[in-house]
Amino acid sequence: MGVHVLSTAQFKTNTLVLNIQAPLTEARVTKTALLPHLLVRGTERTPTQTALTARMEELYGAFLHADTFKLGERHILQVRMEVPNGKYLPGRPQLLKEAIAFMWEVLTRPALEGGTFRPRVVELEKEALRRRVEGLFDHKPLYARIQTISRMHRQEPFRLLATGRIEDLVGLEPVNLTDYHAELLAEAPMDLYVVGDVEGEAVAEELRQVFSLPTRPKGALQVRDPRQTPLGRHVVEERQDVGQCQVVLGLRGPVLRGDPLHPAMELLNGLLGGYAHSKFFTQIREKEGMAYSVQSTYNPHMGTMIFQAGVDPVQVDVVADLMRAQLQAVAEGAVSEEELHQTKAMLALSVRETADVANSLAMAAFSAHLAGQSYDPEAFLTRMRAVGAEELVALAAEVQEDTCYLMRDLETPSGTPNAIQITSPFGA
Amino acid sequence: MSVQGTWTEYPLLGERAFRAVLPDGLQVHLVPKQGFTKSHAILTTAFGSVEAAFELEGEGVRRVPPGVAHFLEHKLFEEPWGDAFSRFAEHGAQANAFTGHSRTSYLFSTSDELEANLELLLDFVQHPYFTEAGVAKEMGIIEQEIRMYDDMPQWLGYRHLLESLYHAHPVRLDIAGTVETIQEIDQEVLHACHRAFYHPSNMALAMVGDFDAEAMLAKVAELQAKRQVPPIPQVQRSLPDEPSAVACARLETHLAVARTTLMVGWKELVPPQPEELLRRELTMALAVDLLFGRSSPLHQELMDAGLIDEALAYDYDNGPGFSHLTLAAESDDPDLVLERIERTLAEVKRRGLDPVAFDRLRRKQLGDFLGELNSPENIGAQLTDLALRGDDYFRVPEIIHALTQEGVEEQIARLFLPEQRAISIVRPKSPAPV
Repeated sequence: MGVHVLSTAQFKTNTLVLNIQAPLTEARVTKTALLPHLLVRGTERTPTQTALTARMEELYGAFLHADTFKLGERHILQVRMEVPNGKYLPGRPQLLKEAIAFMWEVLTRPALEGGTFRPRVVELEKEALRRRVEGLFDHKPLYARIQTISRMHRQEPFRLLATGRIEDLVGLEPVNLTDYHAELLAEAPMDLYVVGDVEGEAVAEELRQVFSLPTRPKGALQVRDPRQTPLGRHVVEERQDVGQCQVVLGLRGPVLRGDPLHPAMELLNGLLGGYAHSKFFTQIREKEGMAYSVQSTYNPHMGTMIFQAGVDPVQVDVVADLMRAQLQAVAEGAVSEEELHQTKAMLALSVRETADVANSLAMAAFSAHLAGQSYDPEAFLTRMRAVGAEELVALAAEVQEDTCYLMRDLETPSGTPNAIQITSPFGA
Repeated sequence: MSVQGTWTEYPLLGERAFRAVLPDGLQVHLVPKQGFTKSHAILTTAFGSVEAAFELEGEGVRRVPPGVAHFLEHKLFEEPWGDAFSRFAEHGAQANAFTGHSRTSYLFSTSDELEANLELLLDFVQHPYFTEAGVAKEMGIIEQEIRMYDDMPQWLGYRHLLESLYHAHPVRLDIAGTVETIQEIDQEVLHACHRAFYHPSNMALAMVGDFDAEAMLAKVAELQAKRQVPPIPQVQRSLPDEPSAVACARLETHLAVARTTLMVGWKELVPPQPEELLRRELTMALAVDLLFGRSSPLHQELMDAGLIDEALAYDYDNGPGFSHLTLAAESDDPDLVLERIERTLAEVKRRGLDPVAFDRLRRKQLGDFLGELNSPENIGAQLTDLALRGDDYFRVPEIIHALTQEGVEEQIARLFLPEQRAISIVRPKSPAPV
């Protein structure tokens, strides 16, 4: 297990982040998604929520959370704890030591019955997973993004939601989950981060002693290069009884995290729709008044971009074209000195401010670790400062639209009559 | 003439604050914090969405169209030389703003050019500049903002809950107004609101970061001294009469969603007095944790029955003339959840709280507060919000220590009255989509 201690003086709490890597496959995704929820339901020593939470409260409101997310095509199971630093409390209690022991217990000693996760608890968590997935329908901007990714990556594992799949719940028994838990403990790459005002060596030593697990491969699970996937040309639309419509474009680009052009790609994203001075914000929101929420995001693990806006039903096609026009404008050279300067300043701020939030710092360090690099924000910024407008222009020409997803209302006529119709929720 | 500041130390918290009130009335709170890469500044005014009418300098009572405070917040970013966001970006600062029920805040974070960004903040907020084209165009943007929230079950459910709790008080209206009411907004009313409510004497500035506090105070004072600040305006605010009873016990609606959202609210018979507000807020937080939190018997019961998948969310909101507590949950059987909530309340009122749980949750409150101090943004927002009503955010732990079980039990008896309760439910449209 990798142990990483990031000793910083400014936080009044100490944060522990345990990241377990699992392959993102149909066979595993739902088991990986269920497992963290089972772990926090109770340990051998404190098998009920009430008892487990009471223990956290005794540690001055220690926070425990376990969930999963994707970093590219790696499914990460994360257990996170945060405890106050005892030096700010009466009696200066040694809370970190307790937190470390507790996290070990949550990871390795869940409450069992007859050697497996408790059947009643497994049933409850399966139902909760079902509701969680169904509930994704309710947040329209998120749902629209999920549909876009689902279509765009239909031939790739990335289409799988970190939340798991309802269809996998049938026939999933406590013994399957217990075996899977044991498998992860025996083999999965694991990294544990500690962030806070701690004594580096002493804490690292404590962690190595408490977290005595079998040796396993260090570093990152191997994943394929997502740039190998051929470009799709999908236009899909879905009608829902909503007041505001969603426009989402999914695009593929040539740059992944850690590539020499990574800083340039982040700048391109910022320039297009990452900040309040960006082209999307100034043109589509401020100039045209057509959107309140309009942005672009870049996924450095997949090399993809998402453009998204919430708009009036009659503006759906107009705004889709406006977003395309902004990208095209950059590909044709529309990058001013002022815009470049502003974007560099904002990107520098967001890179630097990562150090101000313990979870962000741990995530950035882990992300670098997965790419086989050490976390070095200043080196990134040095390369960023050297990027010229011409590099952004060249990159923009290589970013290609793969999927267009449009959520329309029930009445307004479609400007894309040949689009594939999605007629049932989560159908893609 | 130099402005004198005062240091206040909070040794147990490892914090200190340097404070002053400028000649024009602006409150300044400076919190040096080492080790953070960025500094944060926030300028807050005691003006928000819960205005119904006011009279400025005896000019006659003026009705405030719903959504004005929020509209003004958007429009202040427009300046003759361009957009304030752009200029913040030039100076390496990320800026934002938000409007609440009784506060509007403008803020930025930067790791660079702190003084240049501070000057920009003080300038654009205190300098009202509007154009007809800008106002017209903003209506389109805000309309999309309103429509975005109207599609969200939590927001819609909460708005309906407020409509159920309050007959006439403006807290029942959406902070952004409606698509119709914002059409009534013009430059004239924006200017009048700015004159009335954006005077420095109605505002507080907080800055948190790695800077020299005494030098920063001198800088703020210098920047303000250069401004032509008018005398403190004479403003009479008026609110409609609001009965203490709720308006409507239950409101249900449907959206294109898969899950059902339940919101329950209790309207306080008598909103707390300003001097007891902070203590009341902390008492409420403790009460809710004890009654409905993750270590409560109710939480275990609801989770074991599959009625909820995560802890009930809560919010205790108060301001001029209003005060209520809200609980929220997603559940397939909201009426059963309600029944269990009421059963818990009846039992606690009868038997009292568990003293072991009380002590434990008080510890949790202290620990939670420490976690909040990790965020300069949070410190700035809380400092200014509380300072504008005469409270000191850094005194929270002291007040938590002084809370008593009896005090919490009294508040539970006072707040959770069946006749003061309203319910708002948002259900899937039928047929259910998923």
